[in-house]
Amino acid sequence: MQRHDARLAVESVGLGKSFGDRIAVADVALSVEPGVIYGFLGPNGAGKTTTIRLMLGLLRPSAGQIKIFGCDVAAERKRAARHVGALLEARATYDHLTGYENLDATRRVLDLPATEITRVLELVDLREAAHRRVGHYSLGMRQRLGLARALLGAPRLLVLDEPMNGLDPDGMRDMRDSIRSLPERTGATVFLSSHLLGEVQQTATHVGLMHSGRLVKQGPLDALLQHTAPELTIRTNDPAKALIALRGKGYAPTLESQVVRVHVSGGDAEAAAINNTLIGAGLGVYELSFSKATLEALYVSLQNAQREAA
Amino acid sequence: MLTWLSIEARKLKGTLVLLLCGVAPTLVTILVTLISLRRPGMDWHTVLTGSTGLWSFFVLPMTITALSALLAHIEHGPRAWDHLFALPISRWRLFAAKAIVLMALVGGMSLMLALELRVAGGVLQVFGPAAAPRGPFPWREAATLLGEMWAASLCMGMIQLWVALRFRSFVAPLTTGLCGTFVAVAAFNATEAMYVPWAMPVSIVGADGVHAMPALQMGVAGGLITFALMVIHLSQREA
Repeated sequence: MQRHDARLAVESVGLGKSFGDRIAVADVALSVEPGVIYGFLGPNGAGKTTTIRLMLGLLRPSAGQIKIFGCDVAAERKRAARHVGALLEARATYDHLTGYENLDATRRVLDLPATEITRVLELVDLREAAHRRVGHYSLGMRQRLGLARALLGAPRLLVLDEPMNGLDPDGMRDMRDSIRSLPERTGATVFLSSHLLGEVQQTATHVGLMHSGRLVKQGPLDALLQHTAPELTIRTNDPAKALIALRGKGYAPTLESQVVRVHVSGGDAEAAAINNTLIGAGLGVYELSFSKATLEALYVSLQNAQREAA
Repeated sequence: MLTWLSIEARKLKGTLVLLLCGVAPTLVTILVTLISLRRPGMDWHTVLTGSTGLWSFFVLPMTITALSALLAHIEHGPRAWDHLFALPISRWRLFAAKAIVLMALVGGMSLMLALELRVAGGVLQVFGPAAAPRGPFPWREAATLLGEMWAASLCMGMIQLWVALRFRSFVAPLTTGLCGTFVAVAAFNATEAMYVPWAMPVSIVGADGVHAMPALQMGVAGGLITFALMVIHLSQREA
């Protein structure tokens, strides 16, 4: 029998949810330390949203258990929900009301003082637009309003589901900066679901990767990236021929904008061997350089491993 | 609960709900005034019976259909349910507040109808005395009739609200309301009409009021039972 750790912000054991015959998530064992920014990654349909809905008590688990700061969500939904602020859907605001009125509706339900609205508006830098109708807000402003609403009552856990969806580059940068500063400014743990790997890499300290309804990997981002094979960037006079040569040696190279990329784990010696292979194939090699391990590379390698296992 | 009611009331600001609440009784008043102009010399009892008959027969069921759909759409439109359900709240309060607001709006419209009829009668007294209803305005009769119709509409209101809150699409509550009203119209002269929730309000004045009390009792009892079932069902279902 596995034991829950009450110190964890989120902890699940054997968490599963089925809709009829379809298994949406299975055997998910989340472990989110307090104070971290946890990036919850996966492609569409991987089970991220279902897991979040289980975490918020919007769905009941078919198997297992999920706890928020030690409170079982299924058995003590209200108690668990007191620890959580959630941004689920950017447009889940009343467009005919002002930003202030939207926040006030939630504030009054939560029985918080009116000063709480000013505090959260300042946190998301939306004070000047507070008395404008939300229908006139940009998507970025709506996202920030949603974040402000999630911050009402200073929850210990913030659950943000795809908060950067549909934002322009400036909006994404603003949202990223806001999220990154949250643990320090509010003391909250951030659980951030996204399919934008680059954004998560710049924001999260820890990650969990979902694939086909299962949590395939989780842990501190730096530690996970350390175990990821770095990427070798290759520029040659004939990239198509380079692909063939590398495939012949058992690699899985990719070609993008005339640049060949391949994951290698053997360091400089393996890079030299690849160089020899390319030269041996009659190619002129212009560049051969290692790039830093990325979340995308980690994600792709895990996905490939999952496919092979299947 | 008062907090929830005031929040629900605030959400109505700037919506079509308030416009509808103003338009529905006004339409009945205008129609009854036009009838009075064509048939001068009616007394207030006749005017009141005619206007409340029109109100309860068609306008009230259709208005409750539209009102409940609009009230539910305030949450369905922006997909606000997830946000609300993720809060540390007792969900039943939210649905109870919606139901109370719906019935309060219906009550407000009934009151407005009585006031508008009285004002229209006064206007006719000034500009067309021959067409104005005779005698003093029967406030007690108006309050009794409209009050009983309001109470008898509880069952219909709760069914409509349940459907509107359960289904995101406007089609479900509109179809329910149209079908219910159609059945009520078709069954109007039948004794069984008092068992049809959409015909319960009109049963207060229909058939010389013979079915008024059973319709009133069934409307209130059915409404309270439906309210309880709605709150239990919607609070417990997965979002």
